[in-house]
Amino acid sequence: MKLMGWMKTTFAGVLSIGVLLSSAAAQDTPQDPTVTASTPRERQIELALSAAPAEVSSKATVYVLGPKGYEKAREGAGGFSCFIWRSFKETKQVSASPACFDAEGSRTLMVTVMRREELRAQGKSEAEIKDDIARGYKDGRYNAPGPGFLYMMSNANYFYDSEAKQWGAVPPHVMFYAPNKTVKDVGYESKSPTMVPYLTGDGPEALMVVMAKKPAEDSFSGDSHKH
Amino acid sequence: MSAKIIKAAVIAAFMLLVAPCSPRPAQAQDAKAPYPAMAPLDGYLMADRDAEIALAKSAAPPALSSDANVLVLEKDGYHTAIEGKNGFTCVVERGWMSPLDSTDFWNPKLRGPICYNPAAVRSILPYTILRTKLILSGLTKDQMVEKIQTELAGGLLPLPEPGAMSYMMSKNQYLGDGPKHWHSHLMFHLPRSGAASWGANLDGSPVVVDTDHHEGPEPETIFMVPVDHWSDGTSAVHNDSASH
Repeated sequence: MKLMGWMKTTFAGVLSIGVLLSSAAAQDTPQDPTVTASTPRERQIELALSAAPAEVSSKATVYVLGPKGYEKAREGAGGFSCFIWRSFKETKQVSASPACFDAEGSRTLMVTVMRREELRAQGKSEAEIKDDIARGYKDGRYNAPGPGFLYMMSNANYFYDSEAKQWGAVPPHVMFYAPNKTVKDVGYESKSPTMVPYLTGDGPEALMVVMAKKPAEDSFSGDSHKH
Repeated sequence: MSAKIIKAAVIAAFMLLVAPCSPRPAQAQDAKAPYPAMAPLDGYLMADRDAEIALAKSAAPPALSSDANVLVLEKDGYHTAIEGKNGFTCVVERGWMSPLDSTDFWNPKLRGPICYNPAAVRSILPYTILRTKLILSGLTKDQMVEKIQTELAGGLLPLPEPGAMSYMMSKNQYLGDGPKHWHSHLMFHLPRSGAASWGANLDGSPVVVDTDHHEGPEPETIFMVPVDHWSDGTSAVHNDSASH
């Protein structure tokens, strides 16, 4: 994979993530991969389901963006929740990431993800949203996750590189919940591709990111739910 | 390679340093195993102390392992060879850290370089140190398991801390006569849980859990994630066919 560069963005003003772009992935990236409430419902569902292996996503509860925030498109079983995770830098959307939380993430982090979109739909600023989430953790409305991980295995996971001023694709990865862990717990601050895992986010929403070894082509031929 | 195939390779060939399993099947298999009993102690020790240190540190990228605490194995257990300053500890684990029914349990050639992060140093490494000490003191597998269970029940051993993980990214690892160096991988040590609820061991999932062995006294489930490079930065992508 030819390295093109790193991009850094923010997740809802709380999390940050460094991701690796490949030149090939960048070329394949749609010019505008943003997802909004007007994105067709079926397209949102398709993208959400692409985040995890079929055995997970086929049984997951699926959420789609609507005019008031996330809406449940399908009730699942087993506790997994799939949706398109968005982040913003001020008013600009800087990510559109299909994600599937396990039961623990669905019980905890998913609540804050939904709250963020609810507030965005109400016209709140990212700063106001950040404050609301911080207050929620303090007053007990939100809880840090226990052990578990989430899938971001979709080939349609896009982040905006504000330095290069272009969108790029993020390689498939998983993220383990690591509340209140810091870079000291992974040993380094670098976010190079040979330094795994790396830490993203902080406080109760810290995550250990592992760019997973790509499965063989016969078992991974595109979107992760298509096999 | 799908997670199921990876898992099959893991189970069939042996696997790393996962939670031990029921001692009874292990004892029953010992008679047929290529290594039915403990070999002479010298076979497990590394005469070259510097080589053991280097092998231990090779488990993780130098940016991490260069400042890590390093333990080396001596006749009575692990001892500190290098005082680290970043909270990590690197060590070369031996065959007795594998599942009790592994044919490589007493394999003196087995070398499992591993670096634990601070949370794992506090909550996982104590089991490596204790298990090793008990084995080297002459206890049987059953006695070793019983001792760990007793200490755990008495609150003398920790539970896995949130964020406990370890690195097994050495291309010089020898994880058994079958898999040899298997995959470069990370391990996340979580409180015991059924793998199904975590979405591991599924086609297309990079997350692997050894569910074919019985759980032992250590109160953890290990989630393994193969990565595409070794600790020295070289590619491990094409290692699959070569490693087993």
